Amino acid sequence: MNNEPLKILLVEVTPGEASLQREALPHSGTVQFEIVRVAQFKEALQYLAQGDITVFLLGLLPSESLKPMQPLKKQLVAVPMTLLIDPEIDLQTVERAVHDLQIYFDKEQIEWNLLTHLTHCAIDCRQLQSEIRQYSQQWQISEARFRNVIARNADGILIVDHDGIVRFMNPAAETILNSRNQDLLGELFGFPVIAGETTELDIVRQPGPDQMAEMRVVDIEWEGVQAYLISLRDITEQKKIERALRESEAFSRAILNSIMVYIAVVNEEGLIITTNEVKAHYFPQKAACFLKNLARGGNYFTLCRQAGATQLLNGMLEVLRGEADSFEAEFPCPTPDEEFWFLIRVKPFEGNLQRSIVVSHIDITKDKRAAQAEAESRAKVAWIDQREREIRSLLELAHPPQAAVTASIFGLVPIRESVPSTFEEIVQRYNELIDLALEQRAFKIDHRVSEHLRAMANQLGFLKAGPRDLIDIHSTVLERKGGSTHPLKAQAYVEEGRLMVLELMGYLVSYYRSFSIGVRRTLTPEALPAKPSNRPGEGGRS
Amino acid sequence: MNKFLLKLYITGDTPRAERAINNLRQVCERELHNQYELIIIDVLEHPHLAEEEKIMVTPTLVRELPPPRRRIIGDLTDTAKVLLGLNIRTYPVSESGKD
Repeated sequence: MNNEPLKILLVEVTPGEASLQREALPHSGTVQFEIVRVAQFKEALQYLAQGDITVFLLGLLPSESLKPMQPLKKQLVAVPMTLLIDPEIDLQTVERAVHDLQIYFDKEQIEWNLLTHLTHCAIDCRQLQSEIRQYSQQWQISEARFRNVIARNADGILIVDHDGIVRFMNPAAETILNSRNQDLLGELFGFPVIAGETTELDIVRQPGPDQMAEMRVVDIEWEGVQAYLISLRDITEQKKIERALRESEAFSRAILNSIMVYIAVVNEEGLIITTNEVKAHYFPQKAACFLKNLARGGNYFTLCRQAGATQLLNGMLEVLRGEADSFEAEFPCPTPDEEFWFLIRVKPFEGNLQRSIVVSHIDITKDKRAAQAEAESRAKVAWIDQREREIRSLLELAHPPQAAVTASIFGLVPIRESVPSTFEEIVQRYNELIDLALEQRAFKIDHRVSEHLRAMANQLGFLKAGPRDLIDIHSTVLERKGGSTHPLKAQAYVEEGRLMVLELMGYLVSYYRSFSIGVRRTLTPEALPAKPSNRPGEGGRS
Repeated sequence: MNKFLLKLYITGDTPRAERAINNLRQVCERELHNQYELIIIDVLEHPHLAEEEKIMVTPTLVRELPPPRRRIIGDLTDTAKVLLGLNIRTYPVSESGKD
């Protein structure tokens, strides 16, 4: 409160009855008064327009004279205090005319000290009222801004009271709920309940496509009462995208899981972020290699280091660092029983967060085995070709056209031609002996093949057979056996037959040597025939 | 004792609808002890019912009886909030456990 004089505007329409005296006021206390007395409201308006009036005093006013005060109402708003000092006037009438009337006195008993004190209190009160009005205006502005923000918000916003009645909704809420503001205000929407921060709702549209919204709820005070602010966000498109992503991911994963390749995504630390699902025990569990220990959450690099797979580890690191576009290596995975092979292929993968690699493990065991089998098969075919060439050579040796002609000239006819029945019989026996020889070798059964061969050599010697006859017998037997015999067995026949024919030749040579010695002992040179004798019983061979 | 008549509005056979039904059944079994009747209404099958009731979102749970009518929307997993929203107090249980 300052010491400036209080400027009092006194309206006394009937000055003759006034008891206030301008002179009396300065003696009523320490506060300085300055009284401006007017008799007409028009004059009061002029003073009020100047704006420096502190107290507006209504003096002796008859009720009927208050009507002219109506124009004063606006100006009186700025005056801190309005006093009435004539209790005979109807108080309510004055209040209606001057809405800021605050206190009144009996004109006969005015205590100026009290009036001064009350005046200051009124000034303070008026200031407080002014502040309240100011704050109220600010609040109204703030609320207007708040409503404006809500109205322009892209999210649908409803305000419902504790009974679930809609008290406010913005245009976005109208769009989401497909309802007009005037249709929903005052209607029952519902008591919002969420378990966490948000919950999802289906929007009911008739007719209309499926629509979803995410609901948030906060407690607020709305127009003086507790209420809920419900925020609705249209998540239909988001859900569609999420569903499409899920379907796409499921599709990709189904494809990944359908292929028989173990795929691991490894990050820069070597951590296996994810893998596809291949059949159980894709890697042989009895294998000594580390591949069987690969699993999501494990560290590929650590497993490589522990297993000493340095080449693979370096290859992966090079791809991770971008020094190589890819890396491939064949990795053996042996078990005690058999050997498995995997082709490990490393490709870079640019993820959202960090660089990773995709490591594919392709089981190439079948390919490896097939390649090995093919190589073995080729070797066998080459061997068989060689054997075939050998047999062909033997045949050619056994049936040389020149030799036949030469033999004919010298009277040497092959056994096949001279004694065909005996030749066939010997072939049959040789055929049986070669089977016995194979059994003897395979099963360690003593069939006394050598004795049979010796006997056959004696018979052939008796028939004066030569090496070509032996080769003829041998090749005939092999040719017959080769027609319907498994290649492996044919190979065995060839090998065993080669030994048999050599042994047979040996016995035949031995026979002829023994025969020659016996002849020398028993015959004189003169008694020796001039030319070879004919075969016994046949007479055609000499 | 008045029996509670509850109507739950759902949209189709979705996981959300199934979850709402299961949650509500649990709340009812635990709090209302057979003193309730629950009607499930699929707004896709009965659109006119939703229109008559002015159902704007699902899941919406309406307490028809006893009056006053109450309606809650949203997640029904929080028993306390569901009971608060429906203005249902914990139903007193007799010694027999029923009625």
